[in-house]
Amino acid sequence: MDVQNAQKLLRIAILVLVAGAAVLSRLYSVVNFESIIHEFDPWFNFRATRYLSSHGFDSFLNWFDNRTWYPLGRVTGGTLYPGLMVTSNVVHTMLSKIGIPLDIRNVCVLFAPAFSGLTAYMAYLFGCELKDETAGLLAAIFLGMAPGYTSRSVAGSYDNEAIAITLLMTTFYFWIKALKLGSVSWAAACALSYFYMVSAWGGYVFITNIIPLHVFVLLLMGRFHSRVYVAYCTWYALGTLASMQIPFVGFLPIRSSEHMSALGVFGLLQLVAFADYVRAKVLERQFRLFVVSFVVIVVAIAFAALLGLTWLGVIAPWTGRFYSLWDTEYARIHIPIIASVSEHQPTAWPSFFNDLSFLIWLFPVGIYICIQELRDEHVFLVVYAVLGSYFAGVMVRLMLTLTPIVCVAGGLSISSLLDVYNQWNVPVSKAPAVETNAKVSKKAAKAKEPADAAPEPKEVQGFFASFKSANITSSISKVVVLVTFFGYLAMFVSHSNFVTQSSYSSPSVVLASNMPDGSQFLIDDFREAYYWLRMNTPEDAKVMSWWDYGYQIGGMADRTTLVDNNTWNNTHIATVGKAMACDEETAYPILRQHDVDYILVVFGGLLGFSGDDINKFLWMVRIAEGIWPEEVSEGRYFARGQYRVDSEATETMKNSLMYKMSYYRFPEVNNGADRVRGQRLSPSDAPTLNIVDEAFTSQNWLVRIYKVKDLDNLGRQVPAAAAFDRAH
Amino acid sequence: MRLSILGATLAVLSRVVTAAPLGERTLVVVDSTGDIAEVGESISESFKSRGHEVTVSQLKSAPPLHSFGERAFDNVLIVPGKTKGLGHNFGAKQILDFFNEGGNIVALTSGDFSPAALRDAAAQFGISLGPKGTVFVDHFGSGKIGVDESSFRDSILTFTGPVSVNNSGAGLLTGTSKYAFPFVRAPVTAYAYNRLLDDGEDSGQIAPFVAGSRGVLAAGSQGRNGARFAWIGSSDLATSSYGDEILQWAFQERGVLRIRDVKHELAETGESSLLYRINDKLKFCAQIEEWDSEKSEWAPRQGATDIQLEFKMLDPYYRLTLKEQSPGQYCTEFQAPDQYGMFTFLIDYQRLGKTFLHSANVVTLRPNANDEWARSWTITNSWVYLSGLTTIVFAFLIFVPMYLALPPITKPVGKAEK
Amino acid sequence: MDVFTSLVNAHKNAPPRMKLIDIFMVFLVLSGVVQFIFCLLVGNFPFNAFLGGFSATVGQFVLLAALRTQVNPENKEEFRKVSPERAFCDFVFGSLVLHFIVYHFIN
Repeated sequence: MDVQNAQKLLRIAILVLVAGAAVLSRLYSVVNFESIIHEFDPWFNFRATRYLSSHGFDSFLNWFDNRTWYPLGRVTGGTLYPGLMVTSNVVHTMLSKIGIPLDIRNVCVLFAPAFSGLTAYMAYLFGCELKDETAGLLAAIFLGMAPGYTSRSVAGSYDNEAIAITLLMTTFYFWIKALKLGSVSWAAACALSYFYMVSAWGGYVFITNIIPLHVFVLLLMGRFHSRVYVAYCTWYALGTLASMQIPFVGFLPIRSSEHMSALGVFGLLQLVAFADYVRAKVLERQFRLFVVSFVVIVVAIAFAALLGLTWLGVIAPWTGRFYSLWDTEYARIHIPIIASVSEHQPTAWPSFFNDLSFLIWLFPVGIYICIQELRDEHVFLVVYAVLGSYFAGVMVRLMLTLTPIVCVAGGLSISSLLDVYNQWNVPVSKAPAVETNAKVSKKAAKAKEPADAAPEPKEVQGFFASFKSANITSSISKVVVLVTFFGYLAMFVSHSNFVTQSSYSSPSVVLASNMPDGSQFLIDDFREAYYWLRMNTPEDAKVMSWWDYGYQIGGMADRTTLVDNNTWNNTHIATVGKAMACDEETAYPILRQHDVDYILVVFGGLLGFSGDDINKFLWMVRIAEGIWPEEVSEGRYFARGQYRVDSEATETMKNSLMYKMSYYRFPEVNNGADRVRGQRLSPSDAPTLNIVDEAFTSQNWLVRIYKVKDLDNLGRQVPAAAAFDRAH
Repeated sequence: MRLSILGATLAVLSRVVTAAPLGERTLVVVDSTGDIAEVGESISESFKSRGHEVTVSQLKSAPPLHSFGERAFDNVLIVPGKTKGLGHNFGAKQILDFFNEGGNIVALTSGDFSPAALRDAAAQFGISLGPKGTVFVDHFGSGKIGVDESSFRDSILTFTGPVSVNNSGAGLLTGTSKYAFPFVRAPVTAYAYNRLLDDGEDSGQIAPFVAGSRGVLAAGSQGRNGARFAWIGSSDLATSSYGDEILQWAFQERGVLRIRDVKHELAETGESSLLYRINDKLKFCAQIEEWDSEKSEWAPRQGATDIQLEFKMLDPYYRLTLKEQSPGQYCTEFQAPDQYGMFTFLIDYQRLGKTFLHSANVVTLRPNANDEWARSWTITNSWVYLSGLTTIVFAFLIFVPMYLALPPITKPVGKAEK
Repeated sequence: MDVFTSLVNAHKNAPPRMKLIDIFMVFLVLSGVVQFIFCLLVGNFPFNAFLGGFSATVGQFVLLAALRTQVNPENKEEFRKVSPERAFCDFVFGSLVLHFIVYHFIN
């Protein structure tokens, strides 16, 4: 077997091992707990996938969900991104056709790890296009293991990002390929993969803006040539048309400001191409006059048209979600719902290191190398790096989009390092000095790095070539550097593994804690309560809770909810907030009007669970205040500027429905000591409930379910009736 | 007296009782220490003749209202006397529980007898009764209270005409319950005061319990479950024709309605489902029946012109009066609004004195499916664009073979780069 | 104006395949202009049909422009991997995709 084939075989083996490592490191939650869907959003995706697999694609596209957002309903078929559910369904169907009837739940749980292997492969291809196979393999290893990516793709995290990052890398790979070759078919493939991405994730806007920005930067650098024209125009025409086929996207690419840059660059390219065409045919002087007047006029007209249409309202301005990336204070003031999501908070410094390990300092090195080499595809990397860094700094959840570029840049830098230091006197014969360690341990497979000792010169020019020609003669320095970086790589793998295992593998549905003797104590209150709801309430019972739990109630308890995590209707959420925040007399008509049968609250006072509804209470108040400022006022819930829940709480606080439901009968337990707020309720502070009856409290008082009382038979006001019942 | 009661009980036991859907197990509880005890007996006689299974008992030996967890009686008449309490069987809570389970209650009081338990219970019904000793006084009538026809509720009570009333207890409606209503109001010139407080001096300083026609001599209330409660403040009234009719009302023989056979369907196809589409034509029908106590059967209620259907989601989108399509069947047709969501067909018919009718059915209105919008080829505007597309496709199909037929390009095309 | 005449001259001297491409492109521009004017006059209902028809012209135009550039022997250095035959196949493939998407869109 000659060297070429040996290298190819080695690469294949390495890629398979990388995929295996990526998959295995994401399986901790399945091993530690069970195969369950995590968190909140994945429950909705799971429910939608179940609906798709039982009702078929046509029904799914036209699905009007009458078990959420009661009584408004939700046109789910037209307001979700179907890519994830369709892919799962296809996988499920194909598996059952070849004789492996895997349950749909298991398909959904294991979906993300499976696709992470694919992402690693696409990263490899991407790195190959940028530099060479070494960079590709390193990028694959990094992307497969980096905690920034595993945080959103562990087993059970069945969210859009699971497939979106794979498609992101695929689209970018096709784009770079199309740009380098100037081929329509690669650009068409890029457009089709872009279409798939649009169907899968709302963050496709990132691609919609980064590719035009790349082209724009190339134009500014004076690097216009036909390949750019061919690749971009084909991608834009086919991709935009295809993206409008998704019902949720509809006419947005023509109507919203976020897509205008793509349209603008498209127009600009036509102008530049035309000017180029004309220049060849015309004398120099005439040309200059012509092009200046023509281009300037057209650009001015186009820009004026854009401003005019935006001012007229035909083109929607930047939506709140994306505008808040620019003006970070905007959401807090104007759209409290967006500001209240914890994933939308700015990123803290430690999380950069936590998610990226030593790649964070390799990242600038890789970008520097790109700037030095600066072929067209490296400009793309630079643009991506700048944009990605900015967005990752603004919002925690956008760390995910930064991770691929960091991994690729890291791969570039280490492969450059290896180019310099890993040359061992190979004049003619190509003896591969290959170090490969493939150890597969119990929990994870450790990654290894290949050393490509005799590269082919076909793709290496310019700056990269200078690495190859660097001649380091001292063997000791080579060994020292190589061993050091091997150590860094090993530390990267172990760090990623550790972070994935400890921080990102917990299903938020089941909480784990430790007993005083160190053994594990599982808190399964959520599932206990949802199962109680499922078994003990009528099928058409309506459950009101804060919107965080909507998807879980719909998925696990299978009951109709009033509001859920989709948060598409702010007024409806504010109505629920008002019912929770106001006293019983005000809340009861709202409950009757919405046919509410049960109310679910989460209370962490006994356990010390700080994500409970009393801690979120101020957000409920704020959101309700946004719609009814004269009835709900945030200041009334604070006693002398402090958030009190004991006897010093304000009257408004004590009379609010949420307070009463959380602390009903609480002084009987644990001496009334609220472990989260650190305050104590005495028995005289115990609230009385008039309009609801306690139906269920879970084992650790984490979830409490109340049944709404029917109208009084005698026609009395419900509080008066309750008072009479208590007195007799 | 005791003999007559014994005799009455024996008579009851020997009677054949006909079972009726609305319940005719009547309990008459008499406190014979008072002087209105004969009222209980005469009423029980009249109900026996109407087919009720009447049990008359003394207050002390009254049977429990529940047996084996169910109601033992359907109707209860309480005739109080001097005894202050009514015993543990007839406290306010027991009365309310009995009522909430569907039992009907009539309570008598008089100017002399007004036990606290009855007053507590009536207060929950929204009727505030004067304490023991409160009587109506009318100085402009001839020493007795005349009750005239303006006091009566139409179609529940049909007898009109004055009756003289002596020694009547007083009540007023407090407004805490919206289902309470008066049967007989006091005349404008009457007032009620507690004569036990009147020791002859300074009678002008005693504040009246109620004055004018705000005071009531008989009042009633109906629960949402259809059970009825009536209070009559004087034995004269109770034994008059008014009292007879009030008692018939209270014991579910007058003004009893029910709603059956509620259905909704598509107007064109008659297909009924829980999922309709926006802008569908829908048809709604319900059968309303009234209890005919003479024939002891349910008869269609004819001629009602005020039964309304609400088609609502949070707020009513439509409020339509049902029209009588056939005897007792009321229907209406309408087009579903252009709004999708979960809508309720709601009938909430509440008329004082008649059984409340309540029917709520929730259906889903879904938006148009992908292929239910107007198709492109049916819209004339889009023909232009469709023709544009087809011409492009045809041009493409012509272009390809022609291109392949022409010779390939070998020489450069000027200095062009387009 | 000299620009215009020199462009027309260039077209006249072009090889037959180029001429064919140019004719098709001009036809597409006309079709697009007609549709756009119609939309301005009559209003943009149904919007998806207008977008579909108009984008079909734009997309086809772009594909043709790409084909034209790729087939021009002068640009051989730029398109090293893409032979003229390959360019044509790519063009057909892209056009088929475009037609399919627009057909779905208009309905």
